[in-house]
Amino acid sequence: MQKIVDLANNTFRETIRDRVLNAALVFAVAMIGASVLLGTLSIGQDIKIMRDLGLAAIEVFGAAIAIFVGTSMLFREIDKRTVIVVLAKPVTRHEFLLGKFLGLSATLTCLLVAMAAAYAALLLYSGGWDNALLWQVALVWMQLLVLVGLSLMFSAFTSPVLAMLFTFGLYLAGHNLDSFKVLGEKASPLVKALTEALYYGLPNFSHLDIKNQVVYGAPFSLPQFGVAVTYGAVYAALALAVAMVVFSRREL
Amino acid sequence: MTDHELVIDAQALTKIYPAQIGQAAKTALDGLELRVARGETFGILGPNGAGKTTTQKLFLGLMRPTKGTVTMFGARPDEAAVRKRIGFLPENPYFYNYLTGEEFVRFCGGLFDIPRKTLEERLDKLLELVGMQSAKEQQLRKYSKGMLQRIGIAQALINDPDLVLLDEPMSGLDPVGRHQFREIIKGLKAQGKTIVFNSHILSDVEDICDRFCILLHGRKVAEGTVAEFTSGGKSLEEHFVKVVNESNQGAAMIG
Amino acid sequence: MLAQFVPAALALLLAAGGLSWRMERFHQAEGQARWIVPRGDVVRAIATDFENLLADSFWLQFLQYNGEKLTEDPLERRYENLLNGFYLMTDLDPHFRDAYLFGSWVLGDAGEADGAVALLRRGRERHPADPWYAHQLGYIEFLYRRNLAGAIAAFGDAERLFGQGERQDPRMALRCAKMKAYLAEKHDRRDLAVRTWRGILASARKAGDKHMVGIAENALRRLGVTE
Repeated sequence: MQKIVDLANNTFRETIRDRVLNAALVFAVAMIGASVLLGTLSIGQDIKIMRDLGLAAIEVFGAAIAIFVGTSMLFREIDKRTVIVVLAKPVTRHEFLLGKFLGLSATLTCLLVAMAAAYAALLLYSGGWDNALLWQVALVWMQLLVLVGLSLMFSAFTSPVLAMLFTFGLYLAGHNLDSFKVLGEKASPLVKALTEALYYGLPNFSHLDIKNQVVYGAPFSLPQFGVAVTYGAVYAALALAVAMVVFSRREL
Repeated sequence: MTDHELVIDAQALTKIYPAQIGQAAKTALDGLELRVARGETFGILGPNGAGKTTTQKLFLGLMRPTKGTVTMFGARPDEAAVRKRIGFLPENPYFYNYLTGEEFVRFCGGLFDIPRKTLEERLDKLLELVGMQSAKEQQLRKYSKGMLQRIGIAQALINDPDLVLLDEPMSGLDPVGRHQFREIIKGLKAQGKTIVFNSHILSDVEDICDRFCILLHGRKVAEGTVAEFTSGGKSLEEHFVKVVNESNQGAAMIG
Repeated sequence: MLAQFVPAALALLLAAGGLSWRMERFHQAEGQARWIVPRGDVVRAIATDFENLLADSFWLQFLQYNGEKLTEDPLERRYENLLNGFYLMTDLDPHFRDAYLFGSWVLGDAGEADGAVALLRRGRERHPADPWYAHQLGYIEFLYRRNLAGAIAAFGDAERLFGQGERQDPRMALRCAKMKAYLAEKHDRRDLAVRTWRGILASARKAGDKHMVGIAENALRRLGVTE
């Protein structure tokens, strides 16, 4: 257990000191700030635009960093051969991957908290804050965990560029699965079965995204939130498990 | 396990990298028979691409052999109990950029579940031994190649290993560093540790090793003690060149 | 080296800026840019859960393309795609109330009063408890469609909705009642006007609103009713 904590801690330090992260944070905060500017141009919609654009910025920059760092992390370990230094020690590959997952998740949590703090500060100042907005931040956190899992899964067997493309592709698809399902409903039974399978099999990021609702403080039940969070956790665990199986077979 | 037991026992060890797109299958190691006894210092000599690193990776269980077997301390190489007793320094080590030297070695120690107090004592001693006390708070990305090599040695010894595997340990070191490093190895030898290292530099082998073998294109072409090879008044280098030429594998080597 | 490079770079930058300006002139010669509104189902299919943000961006686009026209001579105005644009915004973000309300003003102003009514009906169907849609519908029916009966019904609905539920607003309810009463009077529905003014008078007395009591009393006197 201590080993996993050490591995996670090491990954955390390695990733949080990465300059890409600082750049992303600056951009995200700038974007949240820019929403003020756009808001003033919008004739009475300033609060709405600040809320919408801020939530979108938090999600987009969080996801970009999760995918970017997540897919390059394992490759960097293998490319620089740091992985063989670690795995030559009494560390299993499962422990290694779990440590990587937890470490990057911790870094992303810090990033998310920082972005959410900037967002909350802006809205509190301009009088547009609503505690319901925190539900979305919590669900974005689950989205990021799933993305870290998927990034590790793809990077366990392919190059970082391909892993990035695949993860990003799943992220896009996972946010548009509804239209996918609608498409299948009007098609032949075979195609319909296929789209249904994909609908339930692919990571449905829309389940982890309520930004269109929370900005209106729409009713959102605790059981629904619980199911959403559990769904995210299960999918992240699934991706991580596949990553472990693939990685344990890989020659280093 | 008794003191006379073999630390490394490789039998018909073969590694073939499967064919990939644009790449034919490659035999990296072909039927290697190798036994290293406790307390020995053993050199694996050979040009780049001879299969030295592959051999060490097989010893560490980082790869699975295509054919043949290898046992370490009488057990499978990927068992945790085995790895606890091994220290390993990879070739051209390149560690986590944003950690300081001290943080990195401490991290490595943590992976062995060494008690904190013992770890801190050892850490201090090892940084002193490799001459990195003054630079221990710098991030690794600011280290020179030689400094990385030194910190690499410190992490390889953090678990007080019974077997030390070193892959090209002398590369990147300046003459003073090389001298210091030989002294470190001699010190380990005096403590009764088993040492196996890869090198393509003959003088290192001549100076430190009890026994060595020569690998060429994945095959062992010679094995013996340094004394056996230098008998008859010829230098190790002359013997080495002779062996290589005899093997008809070309003389495009020796760095 | 640097001494040669900097002036060269500046010259090139200046040239690029000039050429960019020239390109813009070509575009201007091609005529005014149109506000292109994509199909809602297409946007929705690829929205990636950013529906609200897209609605905001179409709102900003609408202002960018049509904002100046709102202050131009009404006879010179040429709007493009207005109803489609507001349908798109409100389909992407069904809670975007100002898109319905402001949209209906703009549509009415552009001579598309039927579109304005359709847009508001949409909002009312989606948010049946929200009184603002009925309130706005009353004005659109009255001002742009001259449909007094429709306006009376709409203000009646708004009055009822403002008087109940979470969004209760007695002041707004009274204002809607006042509009209803005026319009009834205009529409030669004296009975309804009298009944409504009497209701207003009672509410105003209860609330101690002397100003409103005066208005209601005047209105009833005008209608020939003596208390």
